[in-house]
Amino acid sequence: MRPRGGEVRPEGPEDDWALVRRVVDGGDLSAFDLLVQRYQDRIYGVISRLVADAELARDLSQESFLKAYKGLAGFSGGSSFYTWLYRIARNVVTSQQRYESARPKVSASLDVPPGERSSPLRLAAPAGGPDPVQSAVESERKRFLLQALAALQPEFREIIVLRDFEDRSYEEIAELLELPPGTVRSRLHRARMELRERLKPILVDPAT
Amino acid sequence: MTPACTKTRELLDDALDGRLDAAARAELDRHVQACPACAAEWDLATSLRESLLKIGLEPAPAGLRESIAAEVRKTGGQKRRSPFGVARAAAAILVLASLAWFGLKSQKTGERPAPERAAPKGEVARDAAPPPPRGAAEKLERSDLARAPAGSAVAAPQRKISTVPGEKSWTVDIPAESDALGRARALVDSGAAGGDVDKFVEPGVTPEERLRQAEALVMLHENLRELTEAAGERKGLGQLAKDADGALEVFAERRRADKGLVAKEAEEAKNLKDALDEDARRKAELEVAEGKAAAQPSLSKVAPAPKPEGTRGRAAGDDAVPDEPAFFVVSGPGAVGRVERVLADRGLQAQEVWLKDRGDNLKKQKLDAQATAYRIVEVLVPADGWNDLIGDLESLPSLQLAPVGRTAGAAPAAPTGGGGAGGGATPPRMGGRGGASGKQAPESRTETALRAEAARPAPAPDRPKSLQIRRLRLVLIGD
Repeated sequence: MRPRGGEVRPEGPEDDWALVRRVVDGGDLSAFDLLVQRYQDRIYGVISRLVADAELARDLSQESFLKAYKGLAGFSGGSSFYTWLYRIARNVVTSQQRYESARPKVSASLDVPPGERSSPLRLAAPAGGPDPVQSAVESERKRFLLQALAALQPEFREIIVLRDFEDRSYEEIAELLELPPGTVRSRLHRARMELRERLKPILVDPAT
Repeated sequence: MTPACTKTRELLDDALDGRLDAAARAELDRHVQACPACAAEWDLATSLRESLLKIGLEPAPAGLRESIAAEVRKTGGQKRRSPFGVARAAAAILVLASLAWFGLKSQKTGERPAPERAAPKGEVARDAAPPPPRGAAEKLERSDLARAPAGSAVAAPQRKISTVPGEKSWTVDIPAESDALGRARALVDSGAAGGDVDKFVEPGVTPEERLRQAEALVMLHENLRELTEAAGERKGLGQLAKDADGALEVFAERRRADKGLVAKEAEEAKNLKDALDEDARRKAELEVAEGKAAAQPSLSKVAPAPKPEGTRGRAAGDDAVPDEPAFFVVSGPGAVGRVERVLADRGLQAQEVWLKDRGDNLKKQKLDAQATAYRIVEVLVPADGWNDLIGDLESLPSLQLAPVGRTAGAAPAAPTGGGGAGGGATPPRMGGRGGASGKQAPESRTETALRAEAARPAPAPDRPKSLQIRRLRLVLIGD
């Protein structure tokens, strides 16, 4: 069985489809290992932004690859391997989020107590500042950005991760999320607006 | 904010992503230069985008690859015949036997086959001959597989074939092949490429759906047996029959497990509804005891204690109009997310009542299935939007919507059977096959919804319909 025509395979010494066939037809574990090597950074990277917990992201990444391995025979080549793998990872994350949402939660607010907001965190780090200061500001800014991201609803979070963290095109996002491009555009717009609104009190100096 | 500001804000993200044409971009730039508020918004947007890109994605931690490899090794490696072999065999059985079965059914009942799908671009049927008379293609398949000598080539057009009319279908592109087995393989490949075959081995379908597929498989396998016998145990078909036996073992095992899960889900849904009703009754009693009930608007009134059989329902002259929630089960792939989107699109907010993830149970039972969750939500629906919402939920493809309990065929003030003796709340299967409805004539989804609507207690008469709120509880089964 060959994949359907028109499918663009990733460049590389051996394309994904050939590796899949080696695993399915020949039980070649090393071929699957190559697929893991090829995609582990992307899968883990996205998952870690979606769940905001490194250890959990690691577990979910592992579970995603394991599910992919078990279901590899069902991969028909109708989409790229990464698209197929991403959708599995997405389901794994969604299941986890549902599980988590059933538990009692400790919520954290983005609101900074008034007394602590005397120095807004500007997006631009102070020019020419000493490295430790700059580093601390960068670190704190990153923490707030990720915290705001985590506070978005999952659909918004996912599209921000794909577009603004991973720099995927609208067309790629549409394929991954199985959405029309117009929906990608509108959802991204709403997601960004919400993210900006959440960050305004922290990142924008009230004096400006 | 001026109209120009509004327009600028709307186009901000397009500009950020370089998706504006030159004229629109120039207009946006002009406005941003002239408007301090929009300039600040633009600065924030661009800075934020740069920051997020700079943060980027974390690389995979060291050792992840090794731990995945270790887990993969624990699974014992890919089995060459399973699941892929099973998938191929199952697909072959389904496609081949559906041709035969459907052909036979068409002959016996004179039922009209499913209409042909218009061939999309790039998938044009290779013969331009006029379409065969109804049932002809299916009969051709069967007779060809049974009698065609090896080496004979028969071309057939692309067709949409319904295994169960109106329910399950495959689109197959049948090329000319040198023998029956080759054609069978081509059918398998076509089916697999269409994605439907994945449902047999891929995680992600609900136990109920898998059960239905397994039942269809068993039924079709019987037809394959007939087909194989008719073909005189030709070499290729004989092998397919052996594969079918292996596939059947797998599906029989799953079917047993799935039957248990489906029954358990229904029982748990019923228990849950009973528990919720009981909670609501206690709350109502408490409110009455505290003298609050009369002061509350009808929205906050909750279901009263169940009255004796035969008197349940809203009696004329009741002071407190019972605002019992209508209870529906929505099941099928993606039920949770898809229903939530329908609600969100209508601006309705679902309050989660109860949720339980069943992934652990599935794992324990060693089912190769994705974790299936079900979620119970309550939605407050304006009365004038009730019918539209139910209509939207009904129209979700491949989802089943079924009222639970008293709404199953009860008149507003009549005693309710709850779908069976003892008030069982098992949701009736709507729109599906399987004969779950017993001897009663099948009921369409719309009819069910209208009956559910008719069975709802009348809202407070002193409120205009646009202000009346109804409570809808949904049990969402499926990812």
